[in-house]
Formats: sequence, structure tokens, C-alpha cells
Amino acid sequence: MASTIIAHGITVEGELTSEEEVEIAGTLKGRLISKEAVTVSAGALVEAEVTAASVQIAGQLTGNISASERVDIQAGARLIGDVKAARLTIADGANFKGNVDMDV
Amino acid sequence: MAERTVIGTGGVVRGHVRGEGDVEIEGRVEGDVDVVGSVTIQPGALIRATVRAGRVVVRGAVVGNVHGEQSVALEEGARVVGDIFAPSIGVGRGALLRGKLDTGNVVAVLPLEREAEAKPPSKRTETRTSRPATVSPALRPAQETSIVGARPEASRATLGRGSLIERPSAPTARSGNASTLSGSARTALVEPPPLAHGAEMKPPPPIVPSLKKGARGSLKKKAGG
Repeated sequence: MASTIIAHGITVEGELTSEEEVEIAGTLKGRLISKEAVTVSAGALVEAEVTAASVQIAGQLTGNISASERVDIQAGARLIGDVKAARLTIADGANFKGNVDMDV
Repeated sequence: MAERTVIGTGGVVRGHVRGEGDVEIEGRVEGDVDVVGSVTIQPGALIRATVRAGRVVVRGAVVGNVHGEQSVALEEGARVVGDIFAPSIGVGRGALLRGKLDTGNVVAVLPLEREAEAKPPSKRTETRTSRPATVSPALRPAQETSIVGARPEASRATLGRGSLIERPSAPTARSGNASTLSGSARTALVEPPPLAHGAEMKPPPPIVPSLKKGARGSLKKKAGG
């Protein structure tokens, strides 16, 4: 259970910073910074630069990702942006356009 | 997936939070919150924002105005520096507030007293001739509008006179529904003036006789004393 949840139907425009886990099921435009895991749920729309420990994407994300641990792009996800992470998985059925840098 | 948005204890939002749904804030928000639904500001939350929502419950710190479409409740632990606008506002014991509370349209009692004083003289003149009757509508509509706009029920409570019964019928008289009733009362007392004016003046007549007696008596007393 994430500590910060942006539910479907809610839009956050600006910067969202958290010391704990973040789950986005709604819309986020701006920047997202977390010290722990970030989950972008299916149906979510994120247009932001994401910096986190780990990122799981099942929804739509437009923006660069910088993760200290891992990034998982799941089936049904749509990612447009660069990924910088130590570990990466792109599931079958995921949509990804961007560069990958694993030399973290 | 939860339908409830939570800004956790370690969460900081710098910007706008908008949309439909309920929001619970335990962290920090700087900017504004504009939500259709309820906003709960938990203890420990620090908000520097204008908060707009259907219902707002504040238990934390808010610097900014709070607008509730339905209600705003400040509970113990609330610390608000800002104004609160809502049709229903509750400030619980222990809540701290520095600001203005505004529930919207509040009308003072004064206009009602003025009308009570104005009525007896106009009724006296009505019985004598029909002409003063045309003068009083000029007075009454202005006062009636202020009273009608300001809760006829409240005026009933404060004045406690027979004349109060007339007031609720005053708006209906205008709409034309009670015109026939008041019209008959009118003809009993005075020659019927044009109905348009007469409709507005009709409500007073039924109670007029008792009031007139008292008014005349007071006049005589004044003349005698």
C-alpha cells in the first residue's frame, strides 16, 4: 500500500516529492521525486520527470526516468522518454520509445 | 487501486491538486487544492494553499482560505490562518483559527422593525380614502422585498404579530395566486384600486382592523397626553 496515492480523477500539476512510496492512478504533470518505489498504474497519465528508487509502469508516462535501482515497464504500458536505471525489464506488450542508460 | 487520494506524511506537493474525488492530506501542500468531493486535512499536515472542496474537515495546519461548497469543519488540532467560506461552518473545541468566517447571505433584523412601524399608519389612511393606499405600495414593496429576500420565517419569529401572517402571502400575492382572496378582503375595506397595485397591498387588510384600533388609541393617547 503506497503512502502517497493520487487516485483516478485527480490531477496534480506541479512537483510531487515523497519520502515514501508513491502510486499514481490519476494524472500528474510536472515532476515526481521519491526516495522509494513509484508505481504508475494502468489508466494513469504522467507527464513528468521521474526520479525514484524504483519505477513500475503500467500506464502512460511521458518523461525521463532516473531510478537508482530498477525500472519495470509492464504490458499495456506506454513510455516515451529516456530510462536511466541499473536494472530494466520491458514486458511483452509494453510500448517504449526512448533511450536506455544502464551505466548508473 | 484506491479511489481516495492520499498525500502521505512524507509527501509534498508544490502545485495544484484538482479533480473529482476525495483527498486526504497528511503531508504538505503548497499551492492550491480544488476538488469536487471531500478534503480531509489530517493532524500533522501543513498546507499553504487555498482549499476548495465540497466538504472540508481540518485537523491540521492551514495557511490559506478554505472554501466549502457544503460544509467546513474545524476539529481539534486544526490551526487555520485564513478565511473560511461555507454555508455550514463548524469550529470544534480546541480548533485554532485566525480569520473570517463567512456563511454567505445573512440579513439583519432591522428592516423588519421598520416595516412594522410603517404599516399601522398606512392602514389608517386606507380606511379613510383610497388614495393613501396608492402611496403605501411605494413604501411597502421596497420593504417587502427586503423581508421576502431575508427569510419570512425569521420575521415571523421576531415580530410575533398578526401582520407576519401576511408576509408569506405577499410573495404569493405577487405571483397572483392569492390575489383573489386578498382582493375580496380589499373590496370590503376600500374601493379596489388597479389590481396590479392592489395585489401588493392586499395582505395587510385582514389584520388591519385590530391594528388600527390600537394605532388610533395610541394616537388619541398621544393627542390627549
